[in-house]
Amino acid sequence: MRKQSFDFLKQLLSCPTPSGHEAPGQKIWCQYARQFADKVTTDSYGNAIAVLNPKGSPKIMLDGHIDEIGLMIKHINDNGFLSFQTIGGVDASLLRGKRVNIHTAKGVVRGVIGAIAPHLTRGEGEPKPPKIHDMTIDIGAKDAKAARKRVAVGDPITFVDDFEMLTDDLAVARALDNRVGTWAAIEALRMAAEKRDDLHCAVYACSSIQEEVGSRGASMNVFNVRPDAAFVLEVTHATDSPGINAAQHGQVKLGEGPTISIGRENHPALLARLRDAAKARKIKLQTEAFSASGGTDAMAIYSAVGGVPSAVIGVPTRYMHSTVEMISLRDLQAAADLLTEACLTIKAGDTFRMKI
Amino acid sequence: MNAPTPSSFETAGQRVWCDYVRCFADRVTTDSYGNVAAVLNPSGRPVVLLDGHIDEIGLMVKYINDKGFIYFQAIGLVSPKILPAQRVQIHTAKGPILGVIGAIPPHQTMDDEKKDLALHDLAIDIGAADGKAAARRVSVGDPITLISQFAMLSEDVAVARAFDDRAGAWAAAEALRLVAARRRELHCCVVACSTVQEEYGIRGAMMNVFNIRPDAAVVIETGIATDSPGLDQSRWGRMAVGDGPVIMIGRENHPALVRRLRKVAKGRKIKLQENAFFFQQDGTNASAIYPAVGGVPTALVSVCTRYIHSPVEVLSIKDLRQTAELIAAVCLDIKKDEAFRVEV
Repeated sequence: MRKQSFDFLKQLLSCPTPSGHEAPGQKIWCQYARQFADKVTTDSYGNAIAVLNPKGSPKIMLDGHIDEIGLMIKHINDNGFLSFQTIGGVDASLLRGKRVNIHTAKGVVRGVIGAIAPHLTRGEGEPKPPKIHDMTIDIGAKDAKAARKRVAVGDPITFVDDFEMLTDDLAVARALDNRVGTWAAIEALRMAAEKRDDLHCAVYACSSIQEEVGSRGASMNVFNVRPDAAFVLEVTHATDSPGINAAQHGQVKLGEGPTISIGRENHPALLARLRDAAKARKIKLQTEAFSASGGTDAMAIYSAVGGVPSAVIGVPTRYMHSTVEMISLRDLQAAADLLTEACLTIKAGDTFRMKI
Repeated sequence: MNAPTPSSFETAGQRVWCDYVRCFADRVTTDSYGNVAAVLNPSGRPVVLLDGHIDEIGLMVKYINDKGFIYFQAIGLVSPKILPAQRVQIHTAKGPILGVIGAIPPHQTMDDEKKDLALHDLAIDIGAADGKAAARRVSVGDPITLISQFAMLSEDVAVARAFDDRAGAWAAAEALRLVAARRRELHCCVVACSTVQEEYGIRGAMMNVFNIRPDAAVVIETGIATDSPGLDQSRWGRMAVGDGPVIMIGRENHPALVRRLRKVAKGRKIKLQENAFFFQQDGTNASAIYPAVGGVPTALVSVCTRYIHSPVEVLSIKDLRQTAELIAAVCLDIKKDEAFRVEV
């Protein structure tokens, strides 16, 4: 991975972007994109779109969402502890004992999610998994009045854990879902820009907002861009860690290459392109059946504006929606390379249709 | 409040709404499914949509059995718990018919284990001798509403079935009226919508946002008050009847519009309550509007309401009036060609 690209990835990952509060991440993404794109625009809700070769045809959208799951202050209790709700699919059982950053109008306030000491619950039998509203954040405020001076209902919250390398290939961070997708979208645009003499299509790299609360940013982008085809870059569940049944969830391994998915939103003509591109660049692909357990931005894109041929490219990720999400940087680089190649092989006027 | 408007049978309420807004709107239109849009200052920009849904939850005749009892399904989210012993109106082609939902006397259930009621455990009695007699008076598909008319509980607090969301449709029309009274100060175009079929999955709003293509939208809804017994504020946030309109933060609620609502409320000395966005994904029409047609900056303003989706919804008239005043003031505060954007 190119050093500047790696630094950009780290910068993206160190930035808080819970759904609905993505502007800090979008700033970083736009600054990076302006170096290679012909045009970078943002819309009313803060989606960012970088365009390369705008006069080209067809229009290819590369989508990765910048937002991450998080928490939001729901209620300041009389004793100064903060109740919270989730932003997106947060696992309640992973929260106790976490440090959090509360993003207030006046800056970041540090807090911790309390955990009742095991000594005090001894003899109560097997502990039940906590409910979100059973937990509170402690910011060291002595009462509600003191807490209200520092934080407000509606302030978004992220986890503190940042990016680290575990080995020379495996990275761990919160919110690799889906900074890696938005990273790969703009990286592919960058690499396509280096070969722009070979490029026929127009490339619209989108850093989409609010995927974790229902793929809303992608809904806006597909309407505004009106693409002829779309590639969606997402993390996908690696099933090679203990406790996951491959018979139930399919087999996907870390470090064995990006995945393509078959069925539903994944258009056969685009899948054929991806397979050809992978072969040409000697990229190893893993294949999955379409995700029965969760949606991606592709679900918002493929059935919009009369139907947009779409395909999901997955970066295998362990421990998704935790603060220790884990990927292989080689898989990620390969996903970006695959996308670049797919864009470069599209000829002017190409259409993507089911043969009937 | 006394017009029955179960989702997809909103005509009676839309007539009342239309008659009211025709007094001050420049143009009032309806669409194929019966949405109504009242437009003020059509050449102004930006176009600001005010949305309140006119439909209410209800029931529908599903099956008439041989004995003349009427089984029903829900229109929207109806809890079977609130239904036994209610009086209902069945809206037939020939007019409304009175019925009662039966309840088994406590003497007969004393020894039974308590179990959760299902809708199909309940039936409506219209006093028919048998199935044939019942079928002469009602038909499968007839919509049903509970009988519970508007009343004041105190000087300020009112009770009715289906404030959700006649309160919102009222506030949209009322805001339009207040703006019309000061139209020389108005730069934007205001489109107040009385929207159909929210309780079915925010369908009317999907139609309106496509037909109107607004530049911004304010959705007015009843919000779940958490100041009555049995509701945990650490779970649902604090929302109290009589403490002012509620604005929401996050997701569909556009930061620039939220800031504007706060600023205007301060200027008008209207006390606001604030809460984190409502976790339910398709909770209100705002969820249909904001991701549509390329993204429409949207904000939700709620009127705190106790016992939502019951025949005894309770709210404060002052909260409701202030909601209309706040929204009117925001419309008047919007500058010519103003755009609402997240700064990146």
